[in-house]
Amino acid sequence: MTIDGYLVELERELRLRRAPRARLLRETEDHLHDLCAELAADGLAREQAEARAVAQFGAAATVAARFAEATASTTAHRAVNVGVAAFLAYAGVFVAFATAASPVLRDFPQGAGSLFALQFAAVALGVAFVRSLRWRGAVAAPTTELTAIARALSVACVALVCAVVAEGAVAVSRPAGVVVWSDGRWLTLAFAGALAVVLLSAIGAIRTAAQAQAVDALPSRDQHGSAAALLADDVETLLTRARLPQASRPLRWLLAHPWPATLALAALAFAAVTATGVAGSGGNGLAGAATLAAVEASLIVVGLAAFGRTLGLRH
Amino acid sequence: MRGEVLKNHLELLVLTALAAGPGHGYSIIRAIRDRSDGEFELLEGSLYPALHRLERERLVSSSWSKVAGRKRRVYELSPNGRATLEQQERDWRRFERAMNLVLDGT
Repeated sequence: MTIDGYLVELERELRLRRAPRARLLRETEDHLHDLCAELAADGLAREQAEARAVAQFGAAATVAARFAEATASTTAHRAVNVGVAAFLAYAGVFVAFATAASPVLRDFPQGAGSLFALQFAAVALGVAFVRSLRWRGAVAAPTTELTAIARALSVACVALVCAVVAEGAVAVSRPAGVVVWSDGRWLTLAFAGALAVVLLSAIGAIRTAAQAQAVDALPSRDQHGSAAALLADDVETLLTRARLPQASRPLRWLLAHPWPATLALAALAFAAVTATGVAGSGGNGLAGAATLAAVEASLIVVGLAAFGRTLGLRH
Repeated sequence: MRGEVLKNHLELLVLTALAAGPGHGYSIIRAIRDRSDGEFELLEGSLYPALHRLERERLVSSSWSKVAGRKRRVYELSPNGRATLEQQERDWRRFERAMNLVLDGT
């Protein structure tokens, strides 16, 4: 194949925006002409030198696939960053909201929907962040990890949107006597800002999912075992990097036994929420606190059952 | 040596090649081949996705420059890239030492 023919094929295979595509094609052309000149200097005829240079560069579909993998990894890392920013922004607004009108939160279940959705988002984003952090700096994350990051981001974004909608519903249906949003202009602006970041993170999650799916469809994709096994490896790698290898054994055990770990966490949450609720009500609100604690503990268990596989927390 | 083995270490190889000074894609490939005494023959087209990604990660920077009378995209190691290279080199040395211990013990 000639260099010109190869460039046409590569252009057809590349799934990139115009500017990076033009730059890559220009760099490829320069590279191939350099290589061709070197091969010609070694005694090859021009036609043979071009064919050898093209073969040495790699099949156009393979080069395009490498680009797709690298681009998908970058998109995933950025989307995780935006997701974390969205979570922090909205969690900040949520705390400000609760502080400005604490009776709403105490009148369970108002405000609780948003609180529960935020917890789902926190777990999903935590999983996505760990996976992303492990592969930052590498040329491309394995496809299994990309898919797992995309799924975790999707769960996190849906949870964040639900949290925003739930809190918005509380805001517009405030009971009389409680501070209304129109009296807290800064809070409304902060809420709108957080909403914008949440929507941005949703766009990032959609792009990540689309690119991960495209990479997964490539014939040369990397597969490195199950998402759950990879998460344990990621945690171990990060702890080793942080010079905390001794912490990896208990964490690996927890990840290998998600059900006992989740039930223990649910029991702890039940005790903590009940104790906090009783203390907050001066010892009179045991029934209400226990109800809230039971819902919290149940959601932890239901969360693992419903989203554990999607997030790669269980097999 | 080529294929998957090199693909997994491409970043370290590229950063190491650039530590000696700025270079364009073709010169990076040659530097890796020469420094490995011809052992490492990269799939040359795989270099550019790696370079573009390293640039997005701000580990390298690039600009169009004239090299030998021709306009080329020249890549240069950034301070972040240098720090990453040092970290990856330490990790690799540790891995190499552990691997040697295992192999020597058999």
